[in-house]
Amino acid sequence: MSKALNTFTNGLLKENPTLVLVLGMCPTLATTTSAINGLSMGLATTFVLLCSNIVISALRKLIPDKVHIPAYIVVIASFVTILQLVMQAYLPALYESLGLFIPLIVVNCIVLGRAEAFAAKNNVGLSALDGLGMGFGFTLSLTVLGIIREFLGTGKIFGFGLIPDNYGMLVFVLAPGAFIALAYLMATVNSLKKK
Amino acid sequence: MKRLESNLLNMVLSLTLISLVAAGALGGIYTLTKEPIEKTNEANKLKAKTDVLPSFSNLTFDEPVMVEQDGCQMTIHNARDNSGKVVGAAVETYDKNGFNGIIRLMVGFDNDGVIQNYSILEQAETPGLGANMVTWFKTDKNKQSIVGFDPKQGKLEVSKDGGDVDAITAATISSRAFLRAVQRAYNAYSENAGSALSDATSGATALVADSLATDSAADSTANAVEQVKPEPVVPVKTTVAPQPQPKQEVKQPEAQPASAAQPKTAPAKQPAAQPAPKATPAKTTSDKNTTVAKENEEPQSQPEVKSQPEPESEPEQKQVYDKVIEILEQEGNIK
Repeated sequence: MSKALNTFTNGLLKENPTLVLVLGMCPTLATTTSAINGLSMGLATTFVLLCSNIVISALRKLIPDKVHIPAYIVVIASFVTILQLVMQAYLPALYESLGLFIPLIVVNCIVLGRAEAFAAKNNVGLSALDGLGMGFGFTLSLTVLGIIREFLGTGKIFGFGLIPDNYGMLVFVLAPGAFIALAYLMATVNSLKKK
Repeated sequence: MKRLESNLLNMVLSLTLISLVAAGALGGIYTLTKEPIEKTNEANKLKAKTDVLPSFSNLTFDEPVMVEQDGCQMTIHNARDNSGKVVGAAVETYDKNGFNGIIRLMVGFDNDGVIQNYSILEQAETPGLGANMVTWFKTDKNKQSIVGFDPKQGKLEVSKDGGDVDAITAATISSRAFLRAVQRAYNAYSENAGSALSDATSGATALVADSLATDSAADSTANAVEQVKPEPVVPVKTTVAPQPQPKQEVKQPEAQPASAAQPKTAPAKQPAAQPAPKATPAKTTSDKNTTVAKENEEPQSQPEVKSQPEPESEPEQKQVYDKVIEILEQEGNIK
């Protein structure tokens, strides 16, 4: 039981995909322009992580080693497409705001990385927990980064204005600010972990 | 952990099976979600059409008119309000050279060609930058809003290019594409929907004339409006239909010969025929402050309008309308 718990909490902080494993940087930097975008992207990736981990773990004995990468990619891509179709049908506003980045979840290194590092070697239950944990860790870091960038860039959090617009530093909405914010967040979290 | 041996058969089998199951699942989900996606797109389109004409309520839209502008296909949706008069149009436009691909939008114009509002239908611009075009050009700040912008009096280009609109900060390419699309919509609307524009001017007077008529006339107009949707030749039939119906009005039967004659030629030119039946009540507008006696003069002047040939093109329609005004001035009905 504690192994299950450890597996789940692993992804939240100890091996947080963004801040420790440094995986999935592209969507991290690109979709955290606002808190709600970051949160939505994280949840979408969590869904894919969970589903792909379960399926790949269930099939792990049936996929020959030499074709394991194409097999994983097909599974992951199918789930991403399912997610995209469902979002387009039932969550159109979210679909509009995330736009291009939903299909890009396929190439998010977190998904393939966890599939190879964990799901291919563990049973379905643990793989599901790992997928959830990593997904929530990703969501957490994306949301925090999104809040920071949105607040510093536009003075708002989740669309609620806290300080007037013209105090916002535009750089944080753009790419350089993304790198800067991410770097400081990583440094802060890692130094806190050392204590 | 013992995996399947990596021989050819196993590899082919496993990949094929996985692909088949994936394809099946995707096909299933696609079929399941096809309808909701279509419904959402239709609802979005209708909402976009209504949103871009915010100062009007209870709008119905004519069948879309496809026109070509700069080699691009535009779609014009003429909008009518309760009484059936054209109050403006929602124009679907696009620009293929957005930063990340095509940008589709809907722009609302009133009868003078002033931009009422816009709505982005499709864009793939950078979130937080170009994607802000959804709200940027509606925000009343500096010179970035195009709501209420009159393309005849200002230039629909970014300030950097010498225009009158502020581009999205750090998203000039997206802004340029957006404004190009809006300019294209305006060009298409003013050039090709000229019939709609002159319909509107005579339609504006028709509205006042209708208000002078009885409730039954208004009712039949309302019924006519409902007929708008199914028929392509709609604009003509609906506007002509109300007039013959009410029998209690004195002027109505007199109006019949004129309006009855017009439908015969009307179907040939759909929106073009509109000015003719509507031009007849046009005179009543100017008469609105005069007595009923003057309204009864209207049937006599109708033959004069009727005798003028049905306008073939938009400039000619304008001429017709101008001539009508001339006649009225001669009769001393307009000050």
